[in-house]
Amino acid sequence: MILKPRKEDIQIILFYLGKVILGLGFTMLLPLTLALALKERVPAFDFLLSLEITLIIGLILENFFRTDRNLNWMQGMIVVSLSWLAAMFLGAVPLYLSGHWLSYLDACFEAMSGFTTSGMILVQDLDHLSRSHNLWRHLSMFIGGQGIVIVALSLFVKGFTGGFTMYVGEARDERIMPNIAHTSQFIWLVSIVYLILGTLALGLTGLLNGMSAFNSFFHGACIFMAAFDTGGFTPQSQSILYYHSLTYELITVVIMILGAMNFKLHYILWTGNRKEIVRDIETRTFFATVMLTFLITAFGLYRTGLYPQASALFRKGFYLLISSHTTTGFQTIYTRQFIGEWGDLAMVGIMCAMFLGGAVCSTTGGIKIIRIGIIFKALVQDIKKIILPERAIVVQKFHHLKEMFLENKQVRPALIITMAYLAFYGAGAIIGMFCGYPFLNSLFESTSAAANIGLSSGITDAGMPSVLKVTYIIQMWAGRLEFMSVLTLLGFVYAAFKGK
Amino acid sequence: MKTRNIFNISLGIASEIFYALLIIFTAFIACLIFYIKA
Repeated sequence: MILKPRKEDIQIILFYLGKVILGLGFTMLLPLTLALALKERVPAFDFLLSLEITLIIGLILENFFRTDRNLNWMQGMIVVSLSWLAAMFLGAVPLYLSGHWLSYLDACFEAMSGFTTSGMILVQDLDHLSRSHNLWRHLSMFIGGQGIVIVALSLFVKGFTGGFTMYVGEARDERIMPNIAHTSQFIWLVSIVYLILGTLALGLTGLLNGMSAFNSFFHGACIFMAAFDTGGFTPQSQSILYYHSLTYELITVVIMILGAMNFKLHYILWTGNRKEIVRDIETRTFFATVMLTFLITAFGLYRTGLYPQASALFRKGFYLLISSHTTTGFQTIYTRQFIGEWGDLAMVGIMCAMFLGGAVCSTTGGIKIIRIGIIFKALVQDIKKIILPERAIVVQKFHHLKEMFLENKQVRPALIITMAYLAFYGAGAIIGMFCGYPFLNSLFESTSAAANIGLSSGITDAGMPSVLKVTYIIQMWAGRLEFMSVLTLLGFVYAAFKGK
Repeated sequence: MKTRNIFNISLGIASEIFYALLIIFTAFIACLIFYIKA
């Protein structure tokens, strides 16, 4: 029997949702401050209005549904899924007010793309967007990369309780420290340390390349946030190609790889156990899958004869490969060239990398490499069982932050989530084909949305059907949260109508 | 204690950057070998 949700459930959910919305509102102070500092008067009003709307909604929810109860698992999951939707609707307001998006749906698409660190864009005339709006786009990635709910509750709102359920709800199932507030603070420490280093490196490169001092460091900060949080937004429409700089490309590749690493691995490395980087199943699998998918891409590119020199092939091919594998979405080639000249094999190599993603407990999307590593180990174990005598006991070990024995309890969820992602990629591709797009392009775009990558095969455009925009929004949302929170919300809504 | 923390963090960052550079370098060598063989 399905039980109807109680009034207390709804009260607790809305109370915590209000807190998250309040936290989100405070983050709008940053672009507002920048707009005021740079005398961008109209954008300043956009952010002032959005801030007011967000704070009013947050305060209403917090005061009308005030409670001192803690969240249970179901409530925590629902708060997470609703918070990401609320972030999309409210984060889209300043974007829509700027006039650079043709409809509120387009602005919602861009906001969801930002918060989920996807990087798909529907903005018009990006090159003339105000700096404060650009900061908001990139900041949304930075907030989304850390986890909206955790950021809002642990850093901006007092009285943070019931955090672990929401930490798990945001697809982070590895606790770095016993306390979630401390875990969140460590994630922020890593991000801030790298923000300073990355912005300095990119800013100095920009300066040396002849950009103005302000632009170098502003672009540096924006590009860092998009690279480390594996988002893929850029302040200019030409993506990383705009900078025409090998150094810039090299630095962003390093930042993307760092962003694809597990935050718990950062913690272990930063506390002295540096051998972990060569022992962990995630870093080993990532290394292997990067090489494998790069060789497929390189062979595909070689066959087309597009890049006659190895260095040119490496520079373009490897950049896009790492950008896809880390689910960032930066480009150093034009989309038209990618679709028209790269050939099917290179595109398949890139797509394989897109399927896989980075580490769990990182800012990446996709299936995640630990699941690939575990499935591979399970396959090896099964082959050994077949080859060896029946009486032989086959034990498979792997190293993920500590030495572990491979068991069904690890293989089963890895297989289920992998299958769920593959089905999700396929479902989006079918809807794309219903809208009249070719199979490979539809699958590419669907994977790009569901794995939070942001590369486009040319479908994502302000002129695409609204049904496809909504499909990709749902894919970005559910893909970022790894389905569980979204499925819990759907179950909750079903129970509200059909429960007794 | 703080100095030791900063030292550990610096070495941690260095090992992470080394890992990233190792991936880039290995891929480049693989690309060169592939080109020469082909």
